[in-house]
Amino acid sequence: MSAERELPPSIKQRIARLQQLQQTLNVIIVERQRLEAELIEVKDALEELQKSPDDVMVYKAVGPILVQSDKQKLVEELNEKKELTETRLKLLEKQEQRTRSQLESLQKELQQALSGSSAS
Amino acid sequence: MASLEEHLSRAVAELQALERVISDLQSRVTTLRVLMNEYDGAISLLDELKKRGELTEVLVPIGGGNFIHAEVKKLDIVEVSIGAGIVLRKSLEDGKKIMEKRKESLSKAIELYENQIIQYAQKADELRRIVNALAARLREEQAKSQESRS
Repeated sequence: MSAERELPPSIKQRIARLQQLQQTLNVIIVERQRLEAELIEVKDALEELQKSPDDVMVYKAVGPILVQSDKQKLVEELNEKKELTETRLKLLEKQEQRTRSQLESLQKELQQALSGSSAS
Repeated sequence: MASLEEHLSRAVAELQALERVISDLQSRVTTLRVLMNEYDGAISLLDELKKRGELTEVLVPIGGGNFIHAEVKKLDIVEVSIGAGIVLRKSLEDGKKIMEKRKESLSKAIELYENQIIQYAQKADELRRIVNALAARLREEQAKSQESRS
Protein backbone atom coordinates (compact mmCIF):
# COMPACT_ATOMS: atom_id res chain seq x y z
CA MET A 1 0.00 0.00 0.00
CA SER A 2 1.50 3.33 -1.00
CA ALA A 3 1.87 6.23 1.39
CA GLU A 4 -0.43 8.32 -0.84
CA ARG A 5 -3.29 5.87 -0.24
CA GLU A 6 -2.85 6.12 3.51
CA LEU A 7 -4.07 9.74 3.55
CA PRO A 8 -7.71 10.35 4.45
CA PRO A 9 -9.74 11.75 1.52
CA SER A 10 -10.57 14.95 3.44
CA ILE A 11 -6.83 15.75 3.74
CA LYS A 12 -6.23 14.93 0.08
CA GLN A 13 -9.04 17.32 -0.85
CA ARG A 14 -7.54 20.07 1.28
CA ILE A 15 -4.10 19.54 -0.26
CA ALA A 16 -5.59 19.84 -3.75
CA ARG A 17 -7.43 22.99 -2.68
CA LEU A 18 -4.17 24.38 -1.25
CA GLN A 19 -2.34 23.83 -4.54
CA GLN A 20 -5.24 25.39 -6.43
CA LEU A 21 -5.13 28.45 -4.14
CA GLN A 22 -1.37 28.77 -4.64
CA GLN A 23 -1.83 28.77 -8.40
CA THR A 24 -4.65 31.32 -8.14
CA LEU A 25 -2.45 33.55 -6.00
CA ASN A 26 0.35 33.40 -8.57
CA VAL A 27 -2.04 34.37 -11.37
CA ILE A 28 -3.36 37.28 -9.25
CA ILE A 29 0.17 38.51 -8.47
CA VAL A 30 1.20 38.45 -12.15
CA GLU A 31 -2.00 40.30 -13.16
CA ARG A 32 -1.55 42.85 -10.34
CA GLN A 33 2.00 43.60 -11.48
CA ARG A 34 0.77 44.00 -15.08
CA LEU A 35 -1.94 46.44 -13.97
CA GLU A 36 0.52 48.38 -11.79
CA ALA A 37 2.84 48.81 -14.78
CA GLU A 38 -0.12 49.87 -16.94
CA LEU A 39 -1.20 52.42 -14.33
CA ILE A 40 2.30 53.94 -14.15
CA GLU A 41 2.33 54.24 -17.96
CA VAL A 42 -1.10 55.89 -18.07
CA LYS A 43 -0.18 58.34 -15.28
CA ASP A 44 3.12 59.27 -16.99
CA ALA A 45 1.36 59.78 -20.33
CA LEU A 46 -1.32 61.90 -18.65
CA GLU A 47 1.29 64.05 -16.91
CA GLU A 48 3.21 64.58 -20.14
CA LEU A 49 0.03 65.37 -22.08
CA GLN A 50 -1.18 67.88 -19.48
CA LYS A 51 2.16 69.70 -19.58
CA SER A 52 1.78 70.26 -23.34
CA PRO A 53 -0.03 73.27 -24.85
CA ASP A 54 -3.71 72.76 -25.75
CA ASP A 55 -3.02 73.01 -29.49
CA VAL A 56 -0.24 70.39 -29.45
CA MET A 57 -0.20 67.99 -32.39
CA VAL A 58 -1.14 64.68 -30.84
CA TYR A 59 -1.77 61.24 -32.28
CA LYS A 60 -3.38 58.10 -30.92
CA ALA A 61 -2.25 54.63 -31.95
CA VAL A 62 -5.09 52.64 -33.49
CA GLY A 63 -3.57 49.31 -34.46
CA PRO A 64 -0.54 50.08 -36.64
CA ILE A 65 -1.87 53.51 -37.60
CA LEU A 66 -1.44 56.82 -35.77
CA VAL A 67 -4.63 58.86 -35.93
CA GLN A 68 -4.52 62.60 -35.30
CA SER A 69 -6.46 63.39 -32.16
CA ASP A 70 -7.38 66.14 -29.73
CA LYS A 71 -5.48 66.76 -26.50
CA GLN A 72 -8.59 67.29 -24.36
CA LYS A 73 -10.26 64.16 -25.71
CA LEU A 74 -7.16 62.09 -24.99
CA VAL A 75 -6.85 63.52 -21.46
CA GLU A 76 -10.44 62.41 -20.81
CA GLU A 77 -9.75 58.97 -22.28
CA LEU A 78 -6.61 58.55 -20.19
CA ASN A 79 -8.38 59.69 -17.00
CA GLU A 80 -11.09 57.13 -17.69
CA LYS A 81 -8.48 54.43 -18.29
CA LYS A 82 -6.67 55.46 -15.08
CA GLU A 83 -9.85 55.18 -13.01
CA LEU A 84 -10.71 51.84 -14.56
CA THR A 85 -7.22 50.46 -13.91
CA GLU A 86 -7.26 51.75 -10.32
CA THR A 87 -10.64 50.09 -9.69
CA ARG A 88 -9.46 46.79 -11.19
CA LEU A 89 -6.27 47.03 -9.12
CA LYS A 90 -8.23 47.58 -5.89
CA LEU A 91 -10.45 44.58 -6.66
CA LEU A 92 -7.41 42.47 -7.41
CA GLU A 93 -5.68 43.57 -4.20
CA LYS A 94 -8.74 42.53 -2.19
CA GLN A 95 -8.82 39.22 -4.04
CA GLU A 96 -5.11 38.74 -3.31
CA GLN A 97 -5.63 39.48 0.38
CA ARG A 98 -8.57 37.07 0.56
CA THR A 99 -6.64 34.32 -1.25
CA ARG A 100 -3.62 34.80 1.03
CA SER A 101 -5.71 34.51 4.20
CA GLN A 102 -7.54 31.44 2.80
CA LEU A 103 -4.17 29.93 1.99
CA GLU A 104 -2.80 30.64 5.45
CA SER A 105 -5.80 29.18 7.29
CA LEU A 106 -5.83 26.12 5.03
CA GLN A 107 -2.11 25.60 5.65
CA LYS A 108 -2.70 25.76 9.42
CA GLU A 109 -5.66 23.36 9.15
CA LEU A 110 -3.60 20.94 7.09
CA GLN A 111 -0.63 21.06 9.42
CA GLN A 112 -2.92 20.25 12.34
CA ALA A 113 -4.70 17.50 10.41
CA LEU A 114 -1.44 15.97 9.15
CA SER A 115 0.20 16.00 12.58
CA GLY A 116 -3.01 14.43 13.96
CA SER A 117 -3.09 11.73 11.27
CA SER A 118 0.63 10.87 11.65
CA ALA A 119 0.24 10.69 15.45
CA SER A 120 -2.69 8.27 15.18
CA MET B 1 5.29 8.43 6.07
CA ALA B 2 2.09 9.79 4.61
CA SER B 3 2.81 13.34 5.68
CA LEU B 4 6.34 13.08 4.30
CA GLU B 5 5.02 12.20 0.85
CA GLU B 6 2.50 15.00 1.03
CA HIS B 7 5.15 17.47 2.16
CA LEU B 8 7.17 16.45 -0.87
CA SER B 9 4.30 16.87 -3.29
CA ARG B 10 3.45 20.28 -1.82
CA ALA B 11 7.06 21.41 -2.03
CA VAL B 12 7.28 20.26 -5.66
CA ALA B 13 4.05 22.08 -6.55
CA GLU B 14 5.30 25.24 -4.86
CA LEU B 15 8.65 24.95 -6.65
CA GLN B 16 6.92 24.59 -10.02
CA ALA B 17 4.77 27.64 -9.29
CA LEU B 18 7.87 29.64 -8.33
CA GLU B 19 9.68 28.55 -11.49
CA ARG B 20 6.73 29.75 -13.58
CA VAL B 21 6.82 33.16 -11.88
CA ILE B 22 10.60 33.41 -12.43
CA SER B 23 10.23 32.49 -16.10
CA ASP B 24 7.46 35.09 -16.52
CA LEU B 25 9.64 37.78 -14.91
CA GLN B 26 12.60 36.80 -17.09
CA SER B 27 10.56 37.17 -20.25
CA ARG B 28 9.39 40.61 -19.06
CA VAL B 29 13.03 41.65 -18.52
CA THR B 30 13.90 40.44 -22.04
CA THR B 31 11.03 42.46 -23.54
CA LEU B 32 12.04 45.58 -21.59
CA ARG B 33 15.69 45.18 -22.67
CA VAL B 34 14.61 44.99 -26.33
CA LEU B 35 12.62 48.20 -25.82
CA MET B 36 15.61 49.88 -24.12
CA ASN B 37 17.78 48.98 -27.12
CA GLU B 38 15.16 50.49 -29.43
CA TYR B 39 15.27 53.74 -27.43
CA ASP B 40 19.09 53.74 -27.59
CA GLY B 41 18.88 53.26 -31.35
CA ALA B 42 16.31 56.04 -31.77
CA ILE B 43 18.36 58.51 -29.70
CA SER B 44 21.58 57.67 -31.59
CA LEU B 45 19.75 58.08 -34.90
CA LEU B 46 18.44 61.52 -33.90
CA ASP B 47 21.96 62.59 -32.84
CA GLU B 48 23.43 61.31 -36.09
CA LEU B 49 20.77 63.02 -38.24
CA LYS B 50 21.22 66.25 -36.31
CA LYS B 51 24.92 66.21 -37.18
CA ARG B 52 24.13 65.69 -40.86
CA GLY B 53 21.30 68.24 -41.03
CA GLU B 54 18.04 68.30 -43.00
CA LEU B 55 17.66 66.82 -46.49
CA THR B 56 19.97 63.96 -45.62
CA GLU B 57 19.28 60.97 -47.80
CA VAL B 58 18.38 57.89 -45.82
CA LEU B 59 17.22 54.33 -46.47
CA VAL B 60 13.98 53.43 -44.71
CA PRO B 61 13.42 49.76 -43.86
CA ILE B 62 10.27 48.27 -45.35
CA GLY B 63 10.76 44.80 -43.84
CA GLY B 64 12.67 41.68 -44.79
CA GLY B 65 15.94 43.61 -44.96
CA ASN B 66 14.67 45.77 -47.84
CA PHE B 67 14.78 49.58 -48.06
CA ILE B 68 13.40 52.56 -49.93
CA HIS B 69 15.14 55.90 -50.43
CA ALA B 70 13.92 58.90 -48.46
CA GLU B 71 15.00 62.34 -47.43
CA VAL B 72 14.75 63.81 -43.94
CA LYS B 73 12.52 66.84 -44.38
CA LYS B 74 12.31 68.14 -40.83
CA LEU B 75 14.70 67.68 -37.96
CA ASP B 76 13.50 70.36 -35.58
CA ILE B 77 10.40 68.36 -34.63
CA VAL B 78 9.85 64.72 -33.74
CA GLU B 79 6.77 62.65 -32.97
CA VAL B 80 7.44 61.02 -29.60
CA SER B 81 5.62 58.19 -27.86
CA ILE B 82 4.60 59.06 -24.31
CA GLY B 83 3.11 55.62 -23.64
CA ALA B 84 -0.48 54.36 -23.51
CA GLY B 85 -0.58 54.50 -27.32
CA ILE B 86 -0.17 58.29 -27.50
CA VAL B 87 2.31 60.16 -29.68
CA LEU B 88 3.10 63.85 -29.20
CA ARG B 89 4.76 66.35 -31.48
CA LYS B 90 7.80 67.80 -29.73
CA SER B 91 10.91 69.78 -30.51
CA LEU B 92 13.96 67.60 -31.11
CA GLU B 93 15.44 68.46 -27.70
CA ASP B 94 12.18 67.97 -25.77
CA GLY B 95 11.55 64.75 -27.66
CA LYS B 96 14.97 63.42 -26.70
CA LYS B 97 14.33 64.37 -23.06
CA ILE B 98 11.09 62.32 -23.09
CA MET B 99 12.92 59.39 -24.65
CA GLU B 100 15.64 59.56 -21.98
CA LYS B 101 12.97 59.69 -19.27
CA ARG B 102 11.19 56.65 -20.73
CA LYS B 103 14.53 54.85 -20.89
CA GLU B 104 15.10 55.65 -17.23
CA SER B 105 11.72 54.21 -16.20
CA LEU B 106 12.40 51.11 -18.29
CA SER B 107 15.73 50.72 -16.55
CA LYS B 108 14.05 51.05 -13.12
CA ALA B 109 11.44 48.44 -14.07
CA ILE B 110 14.21 46.07 -15.23
CA GLU B 111 16.03 46.57 -11.92
CA LEU B 112 12.82 45.88 -9.97
CA TYR B 113 12.08 42.70 -11.91
CA GLU B 114 15.68 41.52 -11.61
CA ASN B 115 15.57 41.98 -7.82
CA GLN B 116 12.32 40.01 -7.72
CA ILE B 117 13.97 37.26 -9.83
CA ILE B 118 16.86 37.08 -7.32
CA GLN B 119 14.43 36.82 -4.38
CA TYR B 120 12.30 34.16 -6.08
CA ALA B 121 15.41 32.26 -7.22
CA GLN B 122 16.67 32.17 -3.62
CA LYS B 123 13.29 30.81 -2.47
CA ALA B 124 13.39 28.26 -5.31
CA ASP B 125 16.90 27.15 -4.26
CA GLU B 126 15.73 26.65 -0.67
CA LEU B 127 12.72 24.69 -1.92
CA ARG B 128 14.93 22.57 -4.20
CA ARG B 129 17.09 21.66 -1.18
CA ILE B 130 13.94 20.75 0.79
CA VAL B 131 12.58 18.68 -2.12
CA ASN B 132 15.89 16.80 -2.43
CA ALA B 133 16.04 16.15 1.31
CA LEU B 134 12.41 14.99 1.44
CA ALA B 135 12.88 12.75 -1.61
CA ALA B 136 15.98 11.18 -0.04
CA ARG B 137 14.12 10.54 3.22
CA LEU B 138 11.17 9.07 1.38
CA ARG B 139 13.44 6.70 -0.61
CA GLU B 140 15.12 5.70 2.65
CA GLU B 141 11.79 4.94 4.36
CA GLN B 142 10.48 3.05 1.34
CA ALA B 143 13.65 0.94 1.26
CA LYS B 144 13.31 0.24 5.00
CA SER B 145 9.66 -0.81 4.63
CA GLN B 146 10.57 -3.13 1.71
CA GLU B 147 13.38 -4.64 3.77
CA SER B 148 11.07 -5.29 6.71
CA ARG B 149 8.50 -6.96 4.42
CA SER B 150 11.06 -9.36 2.87
